Amino acid sequence: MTQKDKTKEEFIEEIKLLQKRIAELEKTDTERKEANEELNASEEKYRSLFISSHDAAMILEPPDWKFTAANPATLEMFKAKNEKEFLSYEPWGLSPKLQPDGRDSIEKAKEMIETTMREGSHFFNWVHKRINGEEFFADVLLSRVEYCGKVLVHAVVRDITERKEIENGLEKARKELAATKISEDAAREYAESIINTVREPLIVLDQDLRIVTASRSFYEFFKVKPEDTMGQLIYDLGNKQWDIPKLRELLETILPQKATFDNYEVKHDFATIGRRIMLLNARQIKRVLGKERVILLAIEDITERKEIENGLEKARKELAVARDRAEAADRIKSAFLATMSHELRTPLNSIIGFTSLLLQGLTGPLNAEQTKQLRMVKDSGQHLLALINDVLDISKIEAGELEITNAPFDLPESIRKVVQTVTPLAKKKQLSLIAQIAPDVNRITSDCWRVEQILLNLLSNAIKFTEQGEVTLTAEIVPDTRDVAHSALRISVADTGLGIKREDLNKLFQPFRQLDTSLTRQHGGTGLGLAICKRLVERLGGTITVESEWGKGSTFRFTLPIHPERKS
Amino acid sequence: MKRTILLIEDNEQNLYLTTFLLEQNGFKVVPARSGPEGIELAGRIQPALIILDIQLPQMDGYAVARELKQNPALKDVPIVAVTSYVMVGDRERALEAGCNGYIEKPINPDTFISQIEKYLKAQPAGEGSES
Repeated sequence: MTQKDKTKEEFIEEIKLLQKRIAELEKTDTERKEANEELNASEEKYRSLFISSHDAAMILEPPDWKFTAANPATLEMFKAKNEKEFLSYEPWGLSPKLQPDGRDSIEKAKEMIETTMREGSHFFNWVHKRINGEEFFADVLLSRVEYCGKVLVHAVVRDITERKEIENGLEKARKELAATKISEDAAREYAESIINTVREPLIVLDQDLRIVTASRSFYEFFKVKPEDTMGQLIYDLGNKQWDIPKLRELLETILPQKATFDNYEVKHDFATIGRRIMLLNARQIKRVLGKERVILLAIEDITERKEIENGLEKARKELAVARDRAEAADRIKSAFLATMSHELRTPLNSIIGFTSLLLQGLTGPLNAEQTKQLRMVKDSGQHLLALINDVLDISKIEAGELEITNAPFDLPESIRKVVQTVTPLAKKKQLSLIAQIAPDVNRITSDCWRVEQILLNLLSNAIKFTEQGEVTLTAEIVPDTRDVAHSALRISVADTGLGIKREDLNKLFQPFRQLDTSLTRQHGGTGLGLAICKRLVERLGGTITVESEWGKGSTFRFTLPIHPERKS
Repeated sequence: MKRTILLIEDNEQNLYLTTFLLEQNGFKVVPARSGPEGIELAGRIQPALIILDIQLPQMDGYAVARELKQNPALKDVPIVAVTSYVMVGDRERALEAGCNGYIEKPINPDTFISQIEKYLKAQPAGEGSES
């Protein structure tokens, strides 16, 4: 440690001690004026003290306050070769013209001496100038001393350049620190703007779990005010609404170990906003400056999502139950239909079988009336059978159980076969039955049996509801110019029958909707024929339409994809 | 000599109807009213053809067909299922059990005999057909 490192206070203390010693010596001196030896001895002591002082010490004497003595430390400080050279300078001659406060050095130096004379001592800062012209900052302590009956000024000067440099360094550092502080504020502002931009509520906690800041969304969502939040312990928020055991566990147990934790689910009943399910994402961050940690806590409210999920799950379960029930109902329905079909067929077998046998005359001749009545029994039996078959058909179609077997077949041949089947019916009513098959209609790929069923249905219907005129079947190919594979077959069955009223057209293809029940009695039929036709056509990939004019007749038209066979 | 047909059928009216129809067309009919009875009779009389109802008491027609086909002495006797089971898959199930033919009820008396004749022709009865 050098003396320069001593603080100002220590320095003053030391000087005061010195002065006290001087005063004591002086006292001794005056007390023992007579004793010259002693006097000389004390003078010598003072002198040796003065000379050996590590601090620059000098004596100024009135009236013009010139240096009269200077110790070696002084010479070294002011870069004087010897005491003589030093003493040739006036006190202000070893100062720049002006002091840092802008005052004239001579004037100010005189004032300092006056103050010293008046007050006994005076301490002040001063800028000195060495003999080589180098300026330096100094602490100066002036003291008024009486020595050998003379009033002198004892000056001690300490070079504080180094201290000044340290001070300047400190000041600079302080300024830099201030600058840093500004950028820290900017960073904070930046961080806060980020925090406020995020949609999900976000809180920043210090290491004591007190709230440093929170996002706007946090205040909005949890209905708390910033002024009631800042600095609060998180658990104390909103009248301790936030004292949630699971949150404690996260912040106090999990986070200190893991530093980051995502999707931590917390359910809680808040007095203000009700029951909430939240996903917490927590991050523990060490601050750049300082050792303290902050905790970022992002809160995602998943209450609605959970509700939707639960609702979906519930709906899914209900759906599964409903589906199971529907499937069970379907199975029961299928089983019922199978049983019904079986149980009805068994007696029908007897009814139709025996009437057929009787009509064949196998049991002996019948008279005309017996034949007529037996035929009615047989027809009724057949009708009942047709009903059973149609009901089974439509049930199968609606249950999606209808099996379709696609295979290539000769369509004109099928048409001729069906026309042949219904020809007796047409003949009986004296109707002309015309089939127009375009030359390019030949083999198609579809379900032969079902196509024939459709044709049979439409033709027998047409004949059934036509009293005079004709029934015309037209078959043609509707070409698709872009793709032959998409060409379609169109078959129309037109009659000159009673026609269908416009308002009844849309009921036509619904099951059990034969339009006039009196017609059923008159014409027979199950009322399921067209419903089955529509479903079959659609199942085969086509469409069916009807055009009709009341009293003039109807035209049923259906299309089918033809899926032409590939030529190998 | 009249060809013998074993008729396994539990419904009295239908039994009577089929029997009458077949006899009128020159067949000899041996009736059986249950599966086990039919199997027992079949082994004894060696019929030219067996007409088999499917819904039967004790043992259904499928089981009867399977058992008949497992008997080496009877495996070549054609079996025709005549049944009210007309739902999807019923025909396949009957054929799978070993039936050679399948006719839906109600039968059509006008065509029934010719249908039966077809199976008799396809599988001529009697000795030596296999050699």
